[in-house]
Amino acid sequence: MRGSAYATGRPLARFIREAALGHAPRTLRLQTHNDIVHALASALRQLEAAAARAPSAEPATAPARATLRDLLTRLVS
Amino acid sequence: MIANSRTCRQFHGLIRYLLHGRSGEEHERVAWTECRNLALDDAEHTATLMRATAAQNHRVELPVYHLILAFDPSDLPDAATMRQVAQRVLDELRLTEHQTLTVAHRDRAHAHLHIVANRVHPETHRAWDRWRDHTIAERALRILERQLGLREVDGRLHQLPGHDLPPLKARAHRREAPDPVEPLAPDRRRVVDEAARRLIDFDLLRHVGRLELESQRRLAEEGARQARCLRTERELDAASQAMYRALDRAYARPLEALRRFDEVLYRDGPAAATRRLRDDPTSYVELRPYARAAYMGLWHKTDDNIALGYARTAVPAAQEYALAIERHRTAVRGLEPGLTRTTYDDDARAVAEHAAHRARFEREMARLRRVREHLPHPDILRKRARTAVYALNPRELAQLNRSLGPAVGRVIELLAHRVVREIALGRDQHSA
Repeated sequence: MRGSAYATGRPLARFIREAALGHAPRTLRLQTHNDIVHALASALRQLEAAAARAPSAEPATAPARATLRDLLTRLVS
Repeated sequence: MIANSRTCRQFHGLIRYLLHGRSGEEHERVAWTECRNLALDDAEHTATLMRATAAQNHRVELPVYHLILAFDPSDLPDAATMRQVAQRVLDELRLTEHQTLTVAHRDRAHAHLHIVANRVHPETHRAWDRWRDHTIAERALRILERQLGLREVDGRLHQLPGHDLPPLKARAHRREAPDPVEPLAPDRRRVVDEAARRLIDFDLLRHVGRLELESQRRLAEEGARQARCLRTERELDAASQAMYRALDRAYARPLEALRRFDEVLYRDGPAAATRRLRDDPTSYVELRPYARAAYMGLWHKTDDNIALGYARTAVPAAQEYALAIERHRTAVRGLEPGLTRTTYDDDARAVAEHAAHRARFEREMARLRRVREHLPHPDILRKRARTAVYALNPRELAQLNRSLGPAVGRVIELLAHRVVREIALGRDQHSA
């Protein structure tokens, strides 16, 4: 409950009151979140394009790409 | 194939609907999905990624571009064909570098696919302009229909040679709705029917006038096209003679070599044909035997290097010849150059379709001209129509408008406008 309230950007009491009165408040999406997702997605895409262009670099960049993909998946889920 | 498109504000709602349906549980209707220019391949994450990119441009209010491509029920395209169609349409719309999600559905009798594109470019963050997107998409679809052998639809915004402008079926259908107006008295009914007859005659006259203008325009276009064809034909003759002379030096049977060069040209394209002439000239026909003197002229031996050298010097003539053929075929077919590689059969079919279409149009024109000959003079028809409209009250006018359809409705509107103007000017109805 506290986590949900935090995600909506509201104090806990206000979150409980609004949720009890109707629909639960929507999760707040900040511009910063969008910027981070966009930057990570852009970096991942560029890494994958580089790996596709130079197959020899593919094994070296694989861990970085996996980490980025994992991070991005958690961010957008 | 037909295309429809719209823009909207939210990625999530649209993508949720495409993947899970209105109820959120219709998962089996998705045949396949494809993500492009997105970091993650999972279609479920597409909306968030696209929204993050769209948020980089604060001025774009409608970042979602939704394009629907529907095939005819008689077409049974496989996934590869559908992907090819989606790819080509996106290329033509210049959305190749944008983030897109393609979702193919199988919940209808006809195959169809939805393309969700992010109007904001992922790198430059500039918004894509959808100006004339319907025209561009229709043009691509018409070309693809012909290339892939799918059912050819008469497009309203772009027609290939042999296509007609489709009638306004949907609007005509709406006009056939039952008339809610109460029936008129018999004497007024007769007046309205007479007005309808006069208006139909007058509209027919206008229709013939419009078609005659169209006919003149087509004749002018046809003349220009024929002039282009003559010019390209002369160029092709000159290039063909130069090519023959070049091949004559290199080959024992230059005509056969030219025929085989043509085959390769049409099958594999000009680059492959000229490359083969340069790298492997013996693959066309056998080379011309040249004898070289040896042992102080006492002996002559055959030397293929001379003919090989001549074959290589024929490459520029071959390139010029291929270019001249391409130009001539483009002029004959009336297409833009470089759009599609076609065969002789396609050329012949396009020319035949063009001729058939023109013959149909001329027949229709002749029929309408015969009908017009039995009508009175245009001034008399116009006066009659105006008098008839003047004699009706607004309710009868509305009923007449509903019963006669949009074209005649515009005539009524025009005539009514003139009648009102004459009343305002103080003229009586007999001067109309």
